[in-house]
Amino acid sequence: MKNTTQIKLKNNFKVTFKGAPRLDVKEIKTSTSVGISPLAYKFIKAKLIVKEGEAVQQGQALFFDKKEAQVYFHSPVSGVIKKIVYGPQRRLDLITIDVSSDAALEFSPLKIDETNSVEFKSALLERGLWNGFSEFPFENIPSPSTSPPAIIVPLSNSEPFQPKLSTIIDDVESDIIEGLAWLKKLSDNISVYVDADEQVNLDAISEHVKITRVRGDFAANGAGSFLYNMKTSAKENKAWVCQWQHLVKITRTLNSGQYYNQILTSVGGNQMVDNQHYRVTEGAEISSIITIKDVKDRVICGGLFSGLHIDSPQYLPLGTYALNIIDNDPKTEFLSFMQIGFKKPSFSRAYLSGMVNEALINLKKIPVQLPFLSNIDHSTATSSALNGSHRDCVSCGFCEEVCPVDILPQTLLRNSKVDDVEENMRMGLLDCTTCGACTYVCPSKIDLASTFETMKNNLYKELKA
Amino acid sequence: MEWLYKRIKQYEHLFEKGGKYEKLYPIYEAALTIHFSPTDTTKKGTHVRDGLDTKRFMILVVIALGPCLLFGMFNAGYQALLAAGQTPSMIDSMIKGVIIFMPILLTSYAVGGFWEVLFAVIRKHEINEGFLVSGLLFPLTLPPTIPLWQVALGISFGIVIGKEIFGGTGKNFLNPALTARAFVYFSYPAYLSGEVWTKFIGSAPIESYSSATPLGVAANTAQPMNVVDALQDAGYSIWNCIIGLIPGSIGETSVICVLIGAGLLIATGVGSWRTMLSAVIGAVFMASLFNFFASDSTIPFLGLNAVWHLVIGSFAFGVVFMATDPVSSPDLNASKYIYGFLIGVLTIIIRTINPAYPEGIMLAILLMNVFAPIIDYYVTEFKMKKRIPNVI
Repeated sequence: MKNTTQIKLKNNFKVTFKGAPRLDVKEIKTSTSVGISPLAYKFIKAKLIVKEGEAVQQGQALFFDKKEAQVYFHSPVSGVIKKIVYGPQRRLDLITIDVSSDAALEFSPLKIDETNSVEFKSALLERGLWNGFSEFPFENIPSPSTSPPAIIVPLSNSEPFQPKLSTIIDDVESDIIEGLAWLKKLSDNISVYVDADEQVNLDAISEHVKITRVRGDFAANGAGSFLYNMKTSAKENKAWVCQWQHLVKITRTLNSGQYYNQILTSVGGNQMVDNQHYRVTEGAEISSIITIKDVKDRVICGGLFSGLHIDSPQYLPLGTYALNIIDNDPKTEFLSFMQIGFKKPSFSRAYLSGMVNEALINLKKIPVQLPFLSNIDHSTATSSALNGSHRDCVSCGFCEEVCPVDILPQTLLRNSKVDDVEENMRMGLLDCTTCGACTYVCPSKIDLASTFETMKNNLYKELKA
Repeated sequence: MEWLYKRIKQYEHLFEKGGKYEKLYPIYEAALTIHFSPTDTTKKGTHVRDGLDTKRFMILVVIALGPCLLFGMFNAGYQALLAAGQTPSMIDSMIKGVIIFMPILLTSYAVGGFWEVLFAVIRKHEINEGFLVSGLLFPLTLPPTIPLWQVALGISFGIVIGKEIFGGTGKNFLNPALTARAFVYFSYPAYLSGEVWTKFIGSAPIESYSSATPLGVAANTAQPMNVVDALQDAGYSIWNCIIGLIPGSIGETSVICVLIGAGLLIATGVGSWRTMLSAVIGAVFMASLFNFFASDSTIPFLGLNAVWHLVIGSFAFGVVFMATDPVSSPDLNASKYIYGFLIGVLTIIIRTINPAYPEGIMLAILLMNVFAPIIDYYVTEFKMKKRIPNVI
């Protein structure tokens, strides 16, 4: 591959969970019902512009953000609005649409050479494509009046389990290349990166843009930690992120004049037998993709670490690209802390799995294939079990060892107890990507990441108030 | 076992808020979760969690202490029989050792446990499994002749003042077991120094038996005697200090057993190798520095080489099991190098040139416990300098 650089990131750990999706892709036709849920977008206050019973067309605006009146969310299908569901404090939770026809709203197609950056920006706003950007450090939808100091485009996501670009690279390669060219109209500084272990052919893309290969496991290769490791000045703290799926959506929508409504989603987690990738309509009904056998299972929209907490979700929320199904009814174990623990998921070496798994993964990587190794299954089952009881921090230091952005979670936690936001900011609170690695490893079961997220969210609200 | 769990769970409502025995919830929680892993699930944030909990964390320390515990009991019995002029057999020594040690251990657990439960019930926090470690560490640092009322007083001070008044495990800044040890040491010095290291059967040992510890011998050597010669005259070689069939605190004499424990702590990641390694480096550094200045006009102890320093006294035990206590150590990995190094240095300084204290590890660790936050502070400030600021 041409035009690539490689960087090695520290502070990460191997994830060896059961239930990774296979790489084949199944097309799912648009189901009869589609649900639009903006729960994945932080901070938006949705103001509806449609009513129940109203007919809408694919590409027609449904609601906008009260605080950023230019940021609209459009309908991915044509049909009739069946139901609008509100959550607490009249938060918009879901709009369900009964799909009735294929007729889509037509926009005039845009040509990249004949479009300047102002026209590009207004086209993104007009066609409901602005909400796919997210701005650091708060991961909010950026204000259309701002310009990004840099845009980061991740071509992989190693959080378990997220869809892999390699499954449809042949189909979307040219769209990504064109999409990157479009993005250059917003910022000169476009950073594209991919996990160095990702098996994907990026030769064609690398001819057009420099790709950074990031060597490091979850959570070191998230967009936030990429930014942390690559930034050269404080100016870049407000960099934007654009997922490759959104890039494809931008290109296809602008080229065809019709709102592009297909996404790639993966189904993972150890409660499903047949995990694979699916191409579905945005907001697809989950039951049209998979059948959940056990009602007690937890359906996570998004990854195992950062996925949304929604009780039995019916539709795939906007902006999420994965479904993970895990056991939500853990069984008690007798004297579990005395086990050898070959099958216990653990970052630490306190159970044998932690000791053995890393060695196994490394052995499997060597070019000479040892036949007996391939038979050893080192993956560990996952469930939503807390695996322990809540305790005070014992300063074990594991959180420090996994934090991809080098903040010192236990020190920040202490500061947060006395609400010292200033000190936390000085220590890097805003670099926190809320990846959840610190929460995962904590033996005292302290939800560090959520504490930091709440602090960050409050800061954002204070800023905007 | 699921049926038993369900059976116990039926009574949970009695202990929950509004229940009849609401106040005793910590006892119920401890009794249940020590046997059955909780089935709680994640409610927000990260959906999946690591299999490691504090119970596993602490139980690994208890397991790592196993060799020291067993050998310590055996040795206590062995020394007692030896002092009585018998030729101790394996089984006799062990039986005698159990008879000597068990009352001490049980007193420590019973009295310490009482305070732990009392505070948990009144302060409404869980009973923390860290107590299993403190309650075992403290008796292992005591001489076999310790009166039980002192054990009870010591562990009470350690648990209440060393830990609970600050809010329990995780919020204490001193190692509770060492706080207990220090309390007994300063309150009743006569019981923790001199001829206390062997429990005599009858009133006095046979004439040929000496219960002087290597540290005692080394500290009392006067010019022109060479300290190594003095140790060898007293019957000590490096090798028998490593094996540990010598008089001393119950659990601390055998370096081999300590090393087995250290191996387990490092392999499982529960004990910090950074602290252990840097403490050894610190001790070697300071001992070598003293060797350099040792002459005919200085006390002979200055001339004792580093290898001897590492194997005599409680240095090994203290460094592996006490200094690595995560709560009272500094938080940051980088700080642990400084912390460990200074423990090593201070131990050698205190035990060598302060005649009032034959051993220095206890005071060195307690002193560094106090300094741990300040080490963290400076290490954090140093790390902050490298960050690109991200503030609003």
